[in-house]
Amino acid sequence: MKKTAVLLALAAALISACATMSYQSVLPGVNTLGELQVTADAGWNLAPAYATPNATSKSQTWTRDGLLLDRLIIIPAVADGEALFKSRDPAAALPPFRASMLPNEIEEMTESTIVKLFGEGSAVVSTENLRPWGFAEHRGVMFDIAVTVTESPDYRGMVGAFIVGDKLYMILFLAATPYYYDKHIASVEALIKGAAIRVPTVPTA
Amino acid sequence: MNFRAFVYFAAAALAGMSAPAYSEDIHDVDHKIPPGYKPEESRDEKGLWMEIEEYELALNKSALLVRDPEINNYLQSVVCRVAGDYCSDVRVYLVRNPGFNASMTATGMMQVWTGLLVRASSTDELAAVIGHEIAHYTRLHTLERLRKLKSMAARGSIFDLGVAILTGYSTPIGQASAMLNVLAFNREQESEADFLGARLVAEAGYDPHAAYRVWEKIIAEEKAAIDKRPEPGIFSKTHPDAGVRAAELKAWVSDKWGPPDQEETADEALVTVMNNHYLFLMEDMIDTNRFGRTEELLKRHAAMGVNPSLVRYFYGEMFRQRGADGDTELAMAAYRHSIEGGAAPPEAYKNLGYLYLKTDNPASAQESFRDYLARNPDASDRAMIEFYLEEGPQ
Amino acid sequence: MQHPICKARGNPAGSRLFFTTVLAMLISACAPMNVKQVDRLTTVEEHPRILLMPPDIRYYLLTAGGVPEPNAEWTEAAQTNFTEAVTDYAASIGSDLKLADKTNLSQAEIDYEELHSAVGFTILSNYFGSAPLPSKNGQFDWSLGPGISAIGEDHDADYALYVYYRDYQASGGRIAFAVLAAAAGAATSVGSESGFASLIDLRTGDVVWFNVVSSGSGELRKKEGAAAVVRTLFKDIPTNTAVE
Repeated sequence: MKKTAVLLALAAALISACATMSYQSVLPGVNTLGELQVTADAGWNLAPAYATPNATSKSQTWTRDGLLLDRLIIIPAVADGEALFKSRDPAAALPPFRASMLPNEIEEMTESTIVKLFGEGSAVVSTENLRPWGFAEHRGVMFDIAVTVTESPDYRGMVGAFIVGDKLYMILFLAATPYYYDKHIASVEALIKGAAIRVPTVPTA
Repeated sequence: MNFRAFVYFAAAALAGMSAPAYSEDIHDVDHKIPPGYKPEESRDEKGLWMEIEEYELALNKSALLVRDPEINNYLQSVVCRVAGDYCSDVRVYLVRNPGFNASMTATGMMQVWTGLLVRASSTDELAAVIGHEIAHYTRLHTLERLRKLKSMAARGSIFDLGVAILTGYSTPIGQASAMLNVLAFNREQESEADFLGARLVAEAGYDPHAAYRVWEKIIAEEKAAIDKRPEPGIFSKTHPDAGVRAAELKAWVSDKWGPPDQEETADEALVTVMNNHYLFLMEDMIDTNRFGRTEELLKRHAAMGVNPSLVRYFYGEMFRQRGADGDTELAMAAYRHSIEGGAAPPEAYKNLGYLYLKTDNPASAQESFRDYLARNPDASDRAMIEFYLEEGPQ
Repeated sequence: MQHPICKARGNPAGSRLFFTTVLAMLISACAPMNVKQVDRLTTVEEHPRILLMPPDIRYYLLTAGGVPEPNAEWTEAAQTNFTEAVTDYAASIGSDLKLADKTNLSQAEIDYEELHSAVGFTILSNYFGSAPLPSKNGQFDWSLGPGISAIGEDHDADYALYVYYRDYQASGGRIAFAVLAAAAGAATSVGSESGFASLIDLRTGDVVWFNVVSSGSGELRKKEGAAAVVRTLFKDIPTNTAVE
């Protein structure tokens, strides 16, 4: 049918106009984003850029069952003055990271950021269970998140974050409840806890 | 033209005030629909009506709906008083959203955001906003607005977006902010709502001078806003010309009901609600990082007589998160004042502790942290605080 | 300027909008129905009891400007006809169908409805759509989780049936516009029907059957049409009337 052909071609053309459209498999084992190393088990998929337009270029978003159901966001090397995500809306005012931040401030920045990502007034975010954690030799923190959203399942999550050389490294996990958070949290917690800064190998002179 | 309007105009002419450039009845418009109004059978009216009813069903289940009985009873009683004969036509929902908004749909569903409650200096002001919205409803502006949406070419689609806009519900960052202008009524409709709304307020026994004070406060808040960023679903964005309207209303209200009382007084009912729910009402405000506005509100709360310990705590939060030069000291002073007031929430001790750490005073930090844990033994961040206690001064 | 299909929001709530747009585009582009089925007949008992969750069915009139105008009479008629047709159909395949009351859902039922919607859209984009998840290796294993069994117990049901259906009927003006647009070489959608249905095993939460429906399935606003749509929507639904 000619109309169908036209529509199909249109759809294809429009779709290919976007950047890479497909999810890629994440190789199990050590994955490196800049200086940050995380150890992934099997089953993760790397989301293409079009699916995560608020993500900064240095971050990666992984999912096991689909972005609406679970997402792991790995954000390395956030510099002083930068936000965790980017927004094309200047009115959004995502809070910036400051190298002098203490754990409570990292927690608040994350909470406030997630509220804005979901939409101020569409979501209520709370954080709790702030606790210290050593990411290899670097002291950092972990905490839990709960997000209540209108017309959407609720989300629960976990965050690991540490500061090295005045830069913030964060791994943020959110998954839908019921079910998806519980399904993945054990393996995610292990992944977060095992995050480390790669020791650079100094080339011999 | 009826007799009352004539009298007003004669008086206005005598007083030398300029007449507004509308139909002469605008100050005296009345309800267009009777109590118990239901839609007629026109197709477009009924279809959208149904969509909004579905939305209301969803709103009833919404996680952002505030269900606390004390706040709801307070709000409900104000709405009912202002609505008068229309009380049973209005169903009011209090929604968690730090923006200033109240909106009403043609079906009688009213949404009030918690951001409105934290901005009211008195129940009169709350009544004024509610009266304004009820007037839009009884004058059928809400229905006309529905029709306007349809004539917009903008697609996007999904019914959720359309109704979200119509009911003033917020949308995620940057999405459909251009469609906010659809919420706006025309100038004449706004004036009608101002004047009819003010009359409803007076007839319900509230202070009609609150009607223009609301606009004056909106202006004050905009001025205080540091970044002039629009709030989501902002009331003032969809209700323009605040200055002009405040002036017109002030002149008219003063003429009709005499000059304002010496002082505005916050009534006990509102202050009680604020005191009992302050942390809940203000925490969403802090999350928005809109420090200029927040500071403006805190000033009002202090003036109103909200418990100073509570207000001071949020001053602390605001200064601390704003983090401008000198704010650390201001924040610490605020937390200390809050604590002296005797009703500081445990978080005041904790956040003061963190600031002591930042200002190289580990001994005081430890003391504050201990106070925090003593007052909040079930603290979920106990592990973090104990880490600092065990570490000792660094 | 970014095309709307690329202007996807990264946040989960907005992703749904994106996926719905994708759905509309994919579905309207395909004249043949896009049907997939996962076969888990082994769990179907004698006289399986199916709980029909409130069907999310809406009818719109697509005006010349492309703005969908919700139509109350059509939607009510469609919902009523659909419910009757499904009840008849369920009987014909030897199942008991119960209807969940929309105005009386428990918090858990609301939570699962929202979760299902997220799972449904995920299936559309990551299974039927052009963005599969490599880790799944073509497997269909989405589930709402075993916690849903409490709902099954509350209602004495073995399965839950969720239905989502949107119908945009072209108005005379819209059709005229489309004809003009086609003459000018531009493609424009004239109207479409799209929907999906899923059957959830209430004991495990697994999606045991999922069907996507597109154009040409039938007219829900009429009784006979509704029966046809139901047959299409539930094509190959696991039944217990042995045909083999």
